[in-house]
Amino acid sequence: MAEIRIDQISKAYGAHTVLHDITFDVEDGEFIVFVGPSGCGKTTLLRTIAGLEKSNLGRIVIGGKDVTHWPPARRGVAMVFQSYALYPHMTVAQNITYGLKVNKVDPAEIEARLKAAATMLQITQLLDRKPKELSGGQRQRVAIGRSIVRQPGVFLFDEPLSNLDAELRVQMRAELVALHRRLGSTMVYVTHDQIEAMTMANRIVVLRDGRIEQIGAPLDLYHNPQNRFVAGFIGSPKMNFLSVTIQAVSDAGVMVELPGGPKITVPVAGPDLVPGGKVELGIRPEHLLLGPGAGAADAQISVTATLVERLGGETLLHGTTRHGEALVVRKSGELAAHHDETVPVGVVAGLCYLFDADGRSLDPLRPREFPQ
Amino acid sequence: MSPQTADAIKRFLHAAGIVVVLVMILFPLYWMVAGSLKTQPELFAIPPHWTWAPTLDAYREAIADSGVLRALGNSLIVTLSAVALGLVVGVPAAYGIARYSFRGRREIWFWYVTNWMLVPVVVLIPFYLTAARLHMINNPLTLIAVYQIFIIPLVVWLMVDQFRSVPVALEEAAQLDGLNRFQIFLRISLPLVTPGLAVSAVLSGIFAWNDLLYAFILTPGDEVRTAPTIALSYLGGYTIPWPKVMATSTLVTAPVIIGGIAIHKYVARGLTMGAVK
Repeated sequence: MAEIRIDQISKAYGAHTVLHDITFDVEDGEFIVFVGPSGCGKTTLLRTIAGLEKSNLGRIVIGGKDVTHWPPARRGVAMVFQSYALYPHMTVAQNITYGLKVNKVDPAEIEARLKAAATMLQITQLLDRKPKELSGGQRQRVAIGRSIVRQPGVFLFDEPLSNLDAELRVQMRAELVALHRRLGSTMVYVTHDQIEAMTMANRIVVLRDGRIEQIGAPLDLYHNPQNRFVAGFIGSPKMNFLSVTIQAVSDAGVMVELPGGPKITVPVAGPDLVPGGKVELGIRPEHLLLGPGAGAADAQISVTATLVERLGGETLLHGTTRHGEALVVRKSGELAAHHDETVPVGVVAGLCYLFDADGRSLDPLRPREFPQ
Repeated sequence: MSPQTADAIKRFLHAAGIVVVLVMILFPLYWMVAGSLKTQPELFAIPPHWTWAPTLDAYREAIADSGVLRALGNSLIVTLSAVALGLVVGVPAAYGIARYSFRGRREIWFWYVTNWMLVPVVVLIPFYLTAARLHMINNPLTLIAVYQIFIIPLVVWLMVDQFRSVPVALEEAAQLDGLNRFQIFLRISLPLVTPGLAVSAVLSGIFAWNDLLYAFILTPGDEVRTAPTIALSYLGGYTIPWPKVMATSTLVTAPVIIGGIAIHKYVARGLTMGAVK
């Protein structure tokens, strides 16, 4: 049993505060991902859980025990480092078992755990090699093996896939998810890659400037971002943002004028909004309509294509609105449009988001109906 | 002049420069070894004889008469002890400076490093007087202690960079593996800086082995004198036995040269900082 409670953690380096009053719980067996741009504090938070950094304020409780002032080794956590941090002067087998030896685990037990881990990670044939004789992916497996044999309640991963090439990253991603299913341990994973976060997490913690922006299941963040930052960070290609002027506020929602004149009523509550004010309209590339379907939308805007990326299964159209704002449209399948062509793009009011001047997402009047 | 010609001239000058430097370094060594294998009249023959019947008489004389072997033994003991003490004190100090942040860290490092700028003769008289008061003249311990003034800064200077080149993540991984600070130092960091250790040991050893000034003043007695001073002891009286001086010098220099050749690759690796990956 190893649930984690992060309780009002704050951390500063001198005058520079890197974590502001962070509070949340991780359930036992959960795969939780910290995501955010570099410098957002996600690695510092992970290292604080590991005990490699001391927080200035707050408590960390792991498995019901207040470990705030405990050394790393006593916390029952294992960590996989971005650089793998394998001991260069030891063989793979020694790397994996060193912690157990130091902690005077019975040799027969060590051998059994080593075998089990090596088999699970398919590194049995590498056990006598030194780290420098291994490829990046193999080193990664050894680092994971070193954490598995300790049988920790909590696994901590610090951007473990960032040094691997794209193909291997996808493969290791799947393996880590499988590993989590198999072990059922609590896993905390740090990444700046929102795709890793979306594909692996039970829940995602989005951090920015040392503050939690939002916590939620991947699709919850995707569908209901609480603010402009989360809306822009989750999803690829990222959400489009257009600056629009409020025309009217009614029970039906907020009417805004799109670039080029068309007006749509976005079904969100805007009690504090007044006509003439500015808000930001967000719409995901995959929710904009292109081609024959565009006419059926609530409104159309003209977009001049600057780049058409044909990926086979889908097409990405990069363009600009009449106001010169950049826009990306994603369409499944292929598209005949070409560079410099102006095409009509359909906007569905029910799939739009509005963000007020503080970047907060305005509450929808009814749940959004996303295309299946 | 064509570029090829210019290139050829450049290469020729380069090679010539190397030859000049080599001759400057190697000729005295040659002269020393050659002289040790000659007799006194042969040594002073003008013009010099480039071929002669070599004799080991000078070596026999040196070893039999003047306790050269004993002096070499003294040198070995003093050098090994001084290097061992310097490493035992200097390596942990370097680790502390490399890994811990504390008030005055930069100043301590600077103080260590600038000790090397000390001109040895400046502190010779205070050391002599101190040693005399403590009745430590002619005591090898005095030399071992005095050499630390130069050995510890050298070790610290070399090893701080070595320890800094060991990734912190390795030590953090060891922390999570349950090692304490001292175990991390001993079992993780130290094995990764062995090239630096070897360089520190060899350079400190050469310094201690070669020292003439302190050894000559602080341990002049026959029982305790070290190898470099022994040749100097012949330079009294009316005739100087040059072949014997040369033979003794050869015996004193040989270990340094053999040691240097044996580990020169290691030295080059240790001096290229960041050698640890």
